[in-house]
Amino acid sequence: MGINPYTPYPVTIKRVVVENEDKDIKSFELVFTNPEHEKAFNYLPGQFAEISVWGYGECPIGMASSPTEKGILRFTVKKTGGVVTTALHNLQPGRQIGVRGPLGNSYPVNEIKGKNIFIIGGGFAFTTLRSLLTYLIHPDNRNNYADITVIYGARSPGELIYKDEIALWQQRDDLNVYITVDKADEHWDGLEGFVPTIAEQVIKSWDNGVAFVCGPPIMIKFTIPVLLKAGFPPELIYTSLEMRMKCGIGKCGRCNIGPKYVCKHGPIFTFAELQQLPSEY
Amino acid sequence: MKLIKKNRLKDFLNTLMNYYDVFAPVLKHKKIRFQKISTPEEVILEYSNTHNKPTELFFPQCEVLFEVDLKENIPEQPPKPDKPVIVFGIRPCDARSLQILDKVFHWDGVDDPYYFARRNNAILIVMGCTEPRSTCFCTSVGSGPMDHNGADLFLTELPEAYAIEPVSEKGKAVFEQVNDLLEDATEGELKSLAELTRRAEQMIDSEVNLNGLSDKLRGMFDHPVWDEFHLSCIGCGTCTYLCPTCHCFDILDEKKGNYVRRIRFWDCCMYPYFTLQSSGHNPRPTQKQRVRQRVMHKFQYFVENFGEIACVGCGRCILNCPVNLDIRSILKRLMEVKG
Repeated sequence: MGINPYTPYPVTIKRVVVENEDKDIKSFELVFTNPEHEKAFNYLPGQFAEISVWGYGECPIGMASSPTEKGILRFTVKKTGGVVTTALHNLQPGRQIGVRGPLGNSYPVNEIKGKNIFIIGGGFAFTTLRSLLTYLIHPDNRNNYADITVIYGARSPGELIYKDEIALWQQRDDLNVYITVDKADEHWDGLEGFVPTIAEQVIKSWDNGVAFVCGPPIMIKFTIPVLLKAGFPPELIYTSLEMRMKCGIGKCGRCNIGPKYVCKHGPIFTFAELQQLPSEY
Repeated sequence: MKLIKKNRLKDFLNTLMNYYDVFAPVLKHKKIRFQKISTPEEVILEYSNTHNKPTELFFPQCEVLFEVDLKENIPEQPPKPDKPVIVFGIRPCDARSLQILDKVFHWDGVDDPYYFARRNNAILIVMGCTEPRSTCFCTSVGSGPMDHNGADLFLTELPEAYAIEPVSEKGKAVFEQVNDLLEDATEGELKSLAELTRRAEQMIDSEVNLNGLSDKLRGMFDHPVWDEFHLSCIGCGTCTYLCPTCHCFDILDEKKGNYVRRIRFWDCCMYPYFTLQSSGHNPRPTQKQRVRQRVMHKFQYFVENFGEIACVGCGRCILNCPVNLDIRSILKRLMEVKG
């Protein structure tokens, strides 16, 4: 972040990828106008940034790219009906927008070295998990981690995001990849079933593992008991929270859950931490 | 002890105006609030406290963060005033509220540049309270009508003069600038100052014992007592707009032609929109939750993060609540129920 934490860095939209059949999830690949800004924007998987569309405002979005992917910054954004995501979805490559960050804490990529990694995602909440996975499997990092298991599901085949990359992950022999859909269609030959159900079939024991769970609240609600039953300590189950945010630096006062500010103490919390907080999120 | 005679206060203010932009209580739209003065005659000296919170001088209700020329795409910040500021006549509770805001705007070393540009540019001449209001309860929250904390210079009104004490280095510098106008206090005036100080503290008759409250509140999030307080609350947000420690804000863009300006403005936790997410989910959809948030934020969450409660006992929320919600009664009730 620069001297003024409210001023975004100018960036240009390089590429826009429509990620799903409903066409309401798009990935935006951004390049920094000023190379100095790219150097200053030093982030880790799990962090987020405020995206500015001039004239419409800002919204907080988790980084979908990994810091190992030099030269671009990627955000995957669902058009929720909000002012900024709607404006962003109308933009074409070449347009300039702003990015302010990196903000918040990150997944503990250093603390989990040597562990078995379980990445469990649902729907379009796979974005920062994609950042994490891309980071972990980078040639410089892959040897630092033991087995990596990915369980990812969506409502239907057309709603899976990052389809091209999923195909590449499935080809790797150093990843266990389980892609599932709630409801298959005539072209789908993969797994069918909810993410917690698949997780229960795949994860039998804790086995020095650490789990990262992101998805719709209902998915998280039913996945956490599966992990606890397998023996995962609550301190080793991580999730990422969302709240309405404005400043992103713990001042504007709206993203707190009890005494914790999602923008500053989070967005990544362990299940053990969440158990200490009021259920107001 | 030095004094400034009342008939020389005009000269005192004129001297200050040579060096500083002076902000003082003035009458505006039938309410007393702090504004920049152009003559000493504008200053209201007979006031218990201002209607508006003086923290608005440092964190205004609405301000431009920066402007963007869409042809250039480079955010530019608005120019800052360079003349130092004096805030004359701010009350001890409000001076203390600025120390509380300092903590928020400096959390983890991330400085809010807009707030601190004004804060570091200002000198506070605090006026002790010799006539506290019935709604004042500063002595219950670790302060008092003659609290010097946060002051640069401290003034106390005596029958014929104001006693003037430099508190900080900044205050000492101002003290030197006005030295020619000051006189030594007589024995009688010193006695009068001691008497007034004692009397002021006695005049604050509302006492709320808050010992152990924040620890107790930690386990009370789901307590049935929260079903009571919000019943009369109409969610107007008056309390938050007048509270000198309230600091929540919103940020949005305004666009005209090729120019965009990003503004920030006060927001209010009493409103459902405050936490409404664009997905439609709202973690605090009811007034019960919002009232609990406001009380918990000031008396528990803030203590956890910053080590003190975020209330200075100014009583503005009590004086101005349209349905007579009284934070003192809420606190007393929280203290008396079984945790």
